Amino acid sequence: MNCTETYSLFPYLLDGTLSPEKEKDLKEHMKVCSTCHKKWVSYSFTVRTLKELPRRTISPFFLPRLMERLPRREPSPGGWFVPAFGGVFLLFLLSLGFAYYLNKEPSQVEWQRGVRKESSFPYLLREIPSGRSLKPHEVMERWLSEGGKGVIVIVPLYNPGEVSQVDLHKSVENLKTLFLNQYGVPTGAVEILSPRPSSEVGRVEFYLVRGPKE
Amino acid sequence: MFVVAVRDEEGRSSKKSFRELTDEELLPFLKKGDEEAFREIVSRYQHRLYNFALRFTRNPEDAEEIVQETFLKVFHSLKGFRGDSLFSTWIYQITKNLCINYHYTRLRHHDATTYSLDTTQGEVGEEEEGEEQSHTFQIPVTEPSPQELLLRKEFHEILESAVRELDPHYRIALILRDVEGMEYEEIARILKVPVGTVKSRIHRARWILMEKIKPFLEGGI
Repeated sequence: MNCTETYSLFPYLLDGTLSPEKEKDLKEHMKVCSTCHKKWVSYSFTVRTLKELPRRTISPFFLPRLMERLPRREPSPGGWFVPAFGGVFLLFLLSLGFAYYLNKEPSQVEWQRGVRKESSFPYLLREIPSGRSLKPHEVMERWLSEGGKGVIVIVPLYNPGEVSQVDLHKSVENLKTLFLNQYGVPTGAVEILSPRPSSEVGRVEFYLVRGPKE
Repeated sequence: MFVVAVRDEEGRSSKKSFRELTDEELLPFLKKGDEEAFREIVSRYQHRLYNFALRFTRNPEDAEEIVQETFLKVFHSLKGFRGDSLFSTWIYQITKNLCINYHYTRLRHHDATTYSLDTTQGEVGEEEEGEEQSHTFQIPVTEPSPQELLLRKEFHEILESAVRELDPHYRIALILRDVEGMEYEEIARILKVPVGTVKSRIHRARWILMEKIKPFLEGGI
């Protein structure tokens, strides 16, 4: 066996797919050829190190960013009747909303204004038990629609192997800032629990529980 | 937890969550535009594709953009996906094509090095004489010291950088095999080339890498 043939057999030696005879020949050659032996050590080390390269995780905000880029579902076909009827209905809702707005307490109006400003926050919150995904401002709207009763309890879930402590800490702090400062929710109305490890891969999600605090 | 009713080959119905379904079983839901099914697919592939793209680009922002584009293409092309190949093969094909496009776009814009499949750099079979048989490159089995960890980290960076300099076709084959651990046959389906070509590209890529990192290896790990 010459050196060129030896080199060409390295991948098969590495994969363990050489016939016993070939493998024996190759190893015999490497015992007497220092160049081939050195090349083999170097070759196998390179491959082993490639396999050991640390795996990286994508940003926890990847999914929300991706979902924002997806097109909205197209309305179902219904001719001119559906948009026309929809328009009238929308006008009716707007007039109801305006009447509601005029009768609101000033503080709640302020919160609603704050909520409206925030529409591109990267988190999606999953509601227990329905499983629906909501944006923070939708959570706030629902809370306000019930007269601000109950406590929004948020449980950040994370996968310890997938999300770094730094990212997790930032996410929780951002959420606190959003609800307590930007939306102006009074202390006690929102409760953010300690992050809990979860087997969910690569997600930092926030679960919402509504209802009076026990 | 989203639960769906699925029928097996014998027509029996059972309830499963999306997480329990295979990629192929998720396809009908994906084609209907089911958002939760799409989320499930994203959660399955986002990190794998990100690592693949990151090894290729060595740039986290570009890698994330490639993965975003991959999923957007999947979303828009699902109705045309006939299932002739596995879903995993298809999604890797999309990422691979985006990586290749990324490479040539960068070449056009940044005057980068040109590559050729006929490169003679680190030619396989090239013999060297007069070197001593004293090299053993071993990563310590015992707990590494901080200095060793630093050296290893540095070596990983050198290796990743060397991977980035490979011809893009070699690079992709090498990443799929040695980093992602795929079978040769699966790589051949993704790249749409014969298995022999895949093996040859991987072998040559390893050889080129080995030559590139030789100075570092000789300096000692």
